Amino acid sequence: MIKKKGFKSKMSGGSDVALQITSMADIFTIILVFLLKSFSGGTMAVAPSEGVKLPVAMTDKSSPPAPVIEISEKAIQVENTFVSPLAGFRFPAGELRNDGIPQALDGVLDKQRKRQELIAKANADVAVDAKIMILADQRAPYGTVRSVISAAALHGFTDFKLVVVQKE
Amino acid sequence: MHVGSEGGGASQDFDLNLAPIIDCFTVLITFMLASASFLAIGVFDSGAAADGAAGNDQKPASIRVDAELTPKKDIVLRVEGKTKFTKSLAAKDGDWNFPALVAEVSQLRKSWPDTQGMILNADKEVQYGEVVRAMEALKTHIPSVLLRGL
Repeated sequence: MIKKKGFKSKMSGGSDVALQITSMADIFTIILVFLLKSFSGGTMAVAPSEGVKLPVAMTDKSSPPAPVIEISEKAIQVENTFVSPLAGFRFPAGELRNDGIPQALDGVLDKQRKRQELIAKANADVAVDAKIMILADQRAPYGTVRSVISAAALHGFTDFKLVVVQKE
Repeated sequence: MHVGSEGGGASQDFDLNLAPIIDCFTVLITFMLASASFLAIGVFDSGAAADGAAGNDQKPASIRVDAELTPKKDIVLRVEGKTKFTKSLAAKDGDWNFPALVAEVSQLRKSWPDTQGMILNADKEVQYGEVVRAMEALKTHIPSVLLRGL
């Protein structure tokens, strides 16, 4: 049992006061529980890299668990791992194949898909998922985004979840 | 934790030292606030439509609706199937005329209720943010907006 402390002085005119710390501990506990709950709630599951300006739109759907492709000004990342460089949101010369699919991304997505298939084979409760999150900067030209989504679709990731910042 | 007893060792009255607990809480709360992202993240559902196909194996709808955003901020609306036409929706006040596109799509859905989706395309120079704006405008008027692939 916690014994409550209150403001008290040793003598009537004394300046020695004890801070009431029990209520402060209660408040801190509530704040901590709230913050932990917010983290586990999934709203903070997607963290864009520094400098990425996500499009702002009105939507009420939250982000599901799925592999994330991020398109920033300087690079393409899959699951926070560097895949391919970009120069001003555009693929450098030689990165795109003749069919417009980026080579490096194609290889990484192929590995992702094969990994999902292996897991699905080993565990009957896990199904191969078509979901993929596209986290792209709003300034990216659609040509770059189109190459990325086409590469994803080529490997069975056809259920795109376009990440946006929710409008107030 | 500090446990102090009053008088002899048999006493059960003790005083919990809360100060170090408060210290820990302060550090934890500061760390969590610093690492938290205050962006409210949401998602738009979309799918891929290969060139010339609607991207699924369902029974084809009566009409196929395609919209393309051009660099001049015009929207080219193409309808194929039981009715066919192509319409260019000119820019309005220097911006894409999304209300006109929404009105056209709503009208088409009234005439052809089996239309459950449309294909959205954009010129390669159009910014992705504008494509998302188009999807935002369309989302309440048509169940599915697919993105045109290569």
